[in-house]
Formats: sequence, C-alpha cells, structure tokens
Amino acid sequence: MLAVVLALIGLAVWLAVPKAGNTVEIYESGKLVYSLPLSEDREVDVKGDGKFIVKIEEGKVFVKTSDCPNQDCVHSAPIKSGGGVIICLPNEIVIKITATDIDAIT
Amino acid sequence: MKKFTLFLIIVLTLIALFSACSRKEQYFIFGTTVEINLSGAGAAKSERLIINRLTELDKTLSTSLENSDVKKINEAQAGEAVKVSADTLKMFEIAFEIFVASEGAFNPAVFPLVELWRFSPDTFTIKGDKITPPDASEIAALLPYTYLFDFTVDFERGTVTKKYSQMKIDFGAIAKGYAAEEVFKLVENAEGLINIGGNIYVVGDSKKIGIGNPRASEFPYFGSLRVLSSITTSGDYERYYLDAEDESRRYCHIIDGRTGYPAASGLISVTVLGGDGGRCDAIATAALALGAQAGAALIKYYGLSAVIITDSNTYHTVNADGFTLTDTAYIFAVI
Repeated sequence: MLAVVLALIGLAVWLAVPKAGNTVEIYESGKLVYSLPLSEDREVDVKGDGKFIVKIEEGKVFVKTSDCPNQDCVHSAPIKSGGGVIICLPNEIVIKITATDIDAIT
Repeated sequence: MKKFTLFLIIVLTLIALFSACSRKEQYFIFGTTVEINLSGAGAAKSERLIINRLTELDKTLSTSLENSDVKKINEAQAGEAVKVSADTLKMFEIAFEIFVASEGAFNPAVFPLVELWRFSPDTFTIKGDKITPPDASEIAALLPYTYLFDFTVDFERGTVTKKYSQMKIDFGAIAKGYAAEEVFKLVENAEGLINIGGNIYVVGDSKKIGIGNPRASEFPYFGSLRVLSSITTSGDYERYYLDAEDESRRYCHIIDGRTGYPAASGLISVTVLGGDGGRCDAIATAALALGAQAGAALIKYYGLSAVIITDSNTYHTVNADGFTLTDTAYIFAVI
C-alpha cells in the first residue's frame, strides 16, 4: 500500500514539473512504436488497421478513434508539451510527450 | 473503490501543490508567440511586468498599429520631423550600427521592398505559397528610397526626419531581441526562461536550448547547446515563398539590403548566442544575408558565438564547441 502511495506521489511530481516536451511517444504493450515531432501535424494509425488513430494537431495530441468499449482515451483531454499521458488499457497503448532534455527551442 | 478514490485525491492534491510554484504561460503579443516560463516567488509579478512592457513596445514599434512611432515615421512626408520615444531611438542606434558593420546587407530601411515581396505582416499570405517574384524594374525603382542614413535621427531632440516620403522603416529584425532583453531585466526573485518568437533569455541557471530544425525532419530539433544568457535564430524557414515555376527556389523574408532580393547566400539558419538582445537579433539576420564567411567574421568581430547551417547539409560553429548535433543529416564543416 505504502509502495503504491509513494509511486503515485512520484507520478504526481513527474507530471507536475513543467518540461519542454516536443516529441510524441506512442507505446504499444510497453514497446515504443512511434517517436514523432510534436510540431508536425499528422494522424497516426497506431495498429495499422485504422481502429486506433492518434492525432497530432497544433501542438496537441489526442485520440481520434479507438475500438475500446468505454472510449476513456477518446474522452481524455488532449496533451501538450507541458506533460501528460493518455492511456488506453484495453489496447495497451500509452501516448505521452517526452520530457526531452531541452528547455526550449529557438 | 473508496481506497482508490482516496489515492486519487492524494495524487491530485500533490499535483496541484507542485504546480502552484511555477508558471509556464504562452501569449501572442508583439506579433509573435511569447512564452514565459518562470518559477519562484517573484514569478507572477515578473510576468505582469513583462506583459506590460511588451504591450508598450508593441504600441511603439508595430508597423501596423495606428499611432506607433514606426507607423508615424512611415506615413510622414519628407522633411517632417517625427517625435519618437526612447525605444525607437534605441532601434535606430542599433540599426545604424549593424547596417554599417554588415556593409548594407542588414538594412531596416528596406521595408518598401519587404512590402513589395509581400513579407510584411499585412501582406504575407502563407508559408510556402507559390509566387511570381517582382520584376527587377520594380525592385530597382524602390532601392533609391532604402538608404538607411536618409533617415536623419536627432538623438538629442528625439526626432526622425525622412529625406524621401517613400521611405519606410521596420525594426522586425531587432525588436524581438531587444524586447527579450528589456523584459529579462524586469524579472526579480524568479528563474527560468523567456522566449519571444525564438529570442530566448535565460534567467538564473543555464539551460539547454535546442536549435529549430530549418527543414522538416524526423528530428525534433537540429541540435542543442547550453545557454548562459541569450540565444536567437534567424532562418529562411520562418516566412518564405516558393517560385511558382521552380519549387526548389525559395524566397525568404530577409531582404538583402544590397540587392533588394531575399537573402540567397547559401545559409538557411544562423543562431547567435550571448551579447545584447537587439544586436544579436540584428547580427543573426545580417549573417544570414552575408553568407558563411562574412557572417562568421561579423559574429567574431562582436565576440559572439554562433551555429550556422548551410543549404548543402553542412553546418559551422563559431566559438560554440559545446554544440551537440541531433539531426544526423547534417555534417560539420570548417568555414
């Protein structure tokens, strides 16, 4: 129990500290399958069958389409360079914007 | 379920607590995106002061806002002495200096040509638009009205007088850098960074800053370096058109004062570090027009550091040994 609380505190800190993220990372079943620039608008067909589409648009990332039953991921707020994660448990897909090691881009 | 809800409340409270100490705000002022990323007790107050100062600078230096100094100068008749603010005088001071140092390549008085090429805020269409360039005769007709010293500036009285009514000035290549430095001075009890349209000032500890990739690429940025004070980039990808008959030909928004044509020196990006904001902004622009050798010489003359990217997939550095390349499509080359 304590371990879980500590882990959640760690997650809270990680999410709260602002970083200049600029790369969108999409993981499927724990494996990194896409690493793309946040600055380029595009649609990503994650599974290749059109059933899970991620959209990168004007610096925001969100799930456009999903075949999961509850559609939690589709309803999640878009994530931006400040941080955040979108998760789809049934599809085992995690989308995040990496906290890269740079603070800003000139 | 109750225990999970409790965990969620703890997590959300912690997130809220940690987020309160720092701010990352984005605004659109001064004709560009402004990002203020400060943390510390003085962050909120500093940010308010910054917004006020930027708004004031915009009102003075904008080419389109009614009653800005620049608009009054541009609409004045020959011989008419226009009263201007200290900020405008400062712009002219830097403009004259870099105009001379770049032998005319950098020239804020080319605004009539900027408008002819449709790169002014009011005339610009979209990036990459296909255009037919203006006729050589149209360019030649305007060049006589672009000699910077035909603006007579009385620094004592604070007035600017044009020799020809057709003359127009535009401080777009200096103002953002100057603004970044001015607002940097306003920050107290806070640390972080301020980014005014790519002109970045670091407050407090050094920051690792990425150089924007000049061309579409799988890499999010071209490379990075550690910045102690300030950094700015001028590039041919910020505002540009493509030739309607030859799409490989690009016309960028930086007009070479010596020719009246967009800079075509073989460079696509120049990043300058250190020094005062307004001058660095102007020097980066000048170097883009001057080309690798003359541009590097100008940068060295001012004791600055730089990263210069060419249109042949190579890059050079000037006093910037700490630069790390990310986009492996480019190769280091000695100038």
